[in-house]
Amino acid sequence: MKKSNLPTLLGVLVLLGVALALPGLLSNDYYLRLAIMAGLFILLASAHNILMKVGQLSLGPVAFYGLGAYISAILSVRHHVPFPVAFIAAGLGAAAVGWIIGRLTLKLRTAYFVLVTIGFAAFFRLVAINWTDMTNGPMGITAVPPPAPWFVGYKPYYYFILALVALVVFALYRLEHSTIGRAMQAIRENETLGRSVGIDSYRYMMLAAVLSSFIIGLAGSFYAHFFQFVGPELLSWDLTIAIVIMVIAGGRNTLAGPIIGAILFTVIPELLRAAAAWRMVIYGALLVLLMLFMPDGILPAFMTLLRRVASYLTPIFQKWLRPAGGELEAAIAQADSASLSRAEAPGRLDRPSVPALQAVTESKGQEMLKAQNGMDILSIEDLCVNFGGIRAVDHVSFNVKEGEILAIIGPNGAGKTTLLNAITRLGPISSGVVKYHGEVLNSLQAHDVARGRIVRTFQHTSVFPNVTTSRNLVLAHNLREPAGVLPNLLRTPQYHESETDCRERARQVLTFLNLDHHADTRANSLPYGNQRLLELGIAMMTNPAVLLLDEPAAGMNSTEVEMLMNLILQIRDMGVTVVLVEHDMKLVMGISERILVLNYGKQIAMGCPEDIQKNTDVITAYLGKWGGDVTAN
Amino acid sequence: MLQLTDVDVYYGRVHALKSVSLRIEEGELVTLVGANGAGKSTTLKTISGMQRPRNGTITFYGEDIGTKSMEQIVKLGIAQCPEGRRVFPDLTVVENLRMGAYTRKDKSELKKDYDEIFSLFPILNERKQQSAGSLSGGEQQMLAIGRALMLRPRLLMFDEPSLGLAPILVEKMAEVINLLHNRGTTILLVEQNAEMALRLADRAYVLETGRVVLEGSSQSVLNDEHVRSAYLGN
Repeated sequence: MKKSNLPTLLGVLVLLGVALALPGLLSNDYYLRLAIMAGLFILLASAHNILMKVGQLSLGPVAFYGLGAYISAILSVRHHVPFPVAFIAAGLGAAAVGWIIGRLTLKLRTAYFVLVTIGFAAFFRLVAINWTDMTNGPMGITAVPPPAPWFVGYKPYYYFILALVALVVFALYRLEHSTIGRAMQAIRENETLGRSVGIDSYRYMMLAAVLSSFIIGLAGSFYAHFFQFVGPELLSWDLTIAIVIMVIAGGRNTLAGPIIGAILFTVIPELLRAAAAWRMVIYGALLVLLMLFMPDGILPAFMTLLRRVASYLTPIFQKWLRPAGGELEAAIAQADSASLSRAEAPGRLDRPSVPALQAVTESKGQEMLKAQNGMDILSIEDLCVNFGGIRAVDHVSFNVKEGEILAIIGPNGAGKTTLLNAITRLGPISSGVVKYHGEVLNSLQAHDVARGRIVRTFQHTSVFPNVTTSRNLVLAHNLREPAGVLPNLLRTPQYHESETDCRERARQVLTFLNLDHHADTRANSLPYGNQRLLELGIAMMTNPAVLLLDEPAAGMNSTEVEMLMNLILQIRDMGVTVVLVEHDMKLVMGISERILVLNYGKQIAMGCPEDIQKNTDVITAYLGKWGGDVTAN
Repeated sequence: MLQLTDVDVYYGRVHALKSVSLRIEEGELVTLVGANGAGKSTTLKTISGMQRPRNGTITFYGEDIGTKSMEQIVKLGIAQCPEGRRVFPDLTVVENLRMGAYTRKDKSELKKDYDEIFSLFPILNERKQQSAGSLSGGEQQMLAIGRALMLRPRLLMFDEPSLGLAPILVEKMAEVINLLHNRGTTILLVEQNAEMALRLADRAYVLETGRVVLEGSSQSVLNDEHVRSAYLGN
């Protein structure tokens, strides 16, 4: 499963070697200065990219840059604080402000968040200009001392920023390939689904904001001691634009993209100086062309190209090495189809195999069933949900017994999904309580509910669309993993344990759903029926105690529905309590032990399938011909 | 009126439709039966111009539409619904219906059509001034169908009209489709509920992994042994 890291490692070592030797290779101090600027921009772009990773665009990174620079300059010039202390203080100060701003703004999304960050950058600039006692106003703070007396010429600064870049990039690499990186990817891909499998999106966004502003603060401190001057122009709008261009043109959400972007967009404007008056025109045209032909950035475009070249070359090489290549070519064609962006690969939904998952779902299934069937695991008491004047759920009370399959049916608009939303806390509760094992859930947030092992699927297919099937499962494993920065950065034994569990579980879930051969297919190019199975798999990764399914059979034909029924029964036999909202009566009547019927938000019936089928209210409101005379189909 | 001849469609390297030929006569109700991923939706997408055929021809009343844009095809009178339940969520029900008549010239006739749609779906009449986003899933589906009818299409293509509907509404939907058929609308129906589709249709095509493996009157398809075990679950 794990790919060889050797080529990447070699590449990094070569790059590092070149970087170390660079001052010797560059004949001119001008170039070395440029290299230092590139290093600074790598820090800024990489840090800014962290916020991109949780799907937020900030237009205020310069606020933290300026803050770091001013803190460091003021401490060293006015209070003669030694550089290491000022440097760390700059990072921490920026991080603290990042935390405060995050608290204030990260409840906002998209355009609102962007606007607020613009506001903050403008605010900091005004403070820097007008708080003359502290910042010396437009004159700026001069004569900031070098980090140490032996920082003479550009070389020491170069090695300092190189070390800093190496450290930051390494830490970001570690975090990207850890619980934290995966949680951020999940949030970016599908925040609601992420929350419903236990990912606290707000926490990870705060983490991103604090981490990002910490790194930018450090970069600001370096700036102050390198230029030995800090002025309000540091907080300029142009700089923000430059950082955003580097991240987006390089390749947002990747590790190397912002680095490439930072280097290119530090060097290109300098090269273009030769073009004199045409400089900005050429620069602009270049940018337009870049975004036109590489909308995801330079790095992703390059990787796609590389993959395409490889897929053309491999068959040739294979033929060359081994004459019989028919099978291989087929395999390559298949692998290629997996990376298609919008493909609807043909192939039917496959039948699931033996209950391979049983072993992994803590094997308390059977005995628990015997001992506890009949205990209430969920109780809903007098629940109401209002939307404006409409009462979508109207004084509903029922219990779910441990180990049962309970179906909720009712006409479209009866409030079934609203009820599921209320229980999983993705939607509001107006009055009444939801109890889980006797404890009131009302005040919890969606991710807490999932952590309590109540997990749901969605009416409209909800997966992490742009990543592979197996990656979808890995992303859903979050709530069983250590979430702190340190265990993920240092790779503690606990971390390794959860990684092993994750791989093992993902493998078993794939086998359980018989999706093995689709492991490397992007979720949005899976056939529809397989996407619905994947949703079930995502929920199973969290090891739920209660599974709430919202119309799992929608869009499946009779044969597929039978297969799904079989799967749900197997999941129940593992000890999972199942609540399902469904319109397919074959499924509802076939596997559920009790049925709750809602109409216009009100509970109109509750009972076993036979009674519900005879209930005249239910027949007129919902079942139509399905009721009454219909026996088992 | 509509004729597909040896149509091949690819998604990248994936061969989604393999030399598919089918025809629909005026006033007919034709259904496509097949598993998920067999190419039913791809066929609809290809007819409506969302997907281009690599080989083969598509003609509508003798006119080649294989290279026409989606807008041009809609103007020729081919409408698709419910298109994954897509409605304009911030517009009211009536405004959504009016959007459906966007390409029509005879605006004076609109009133009559509203009445007709409201008689088919009384619930839409009750919620006339509500925003479409506040409707339940099933109601949005009816609205999407109503919007397609506002086009007064010469060919109406249904993509999974029963998806996510309560059993009583599935019956209702079947009645609506039957009614439209009896009024002479030409219909191409794609539906997971193969039993219902075959009961309604005059003729059927069975698709498997992008190929037409069986065609004939819906009665003969309904009686086919393979179809019964693969799609009807008995």
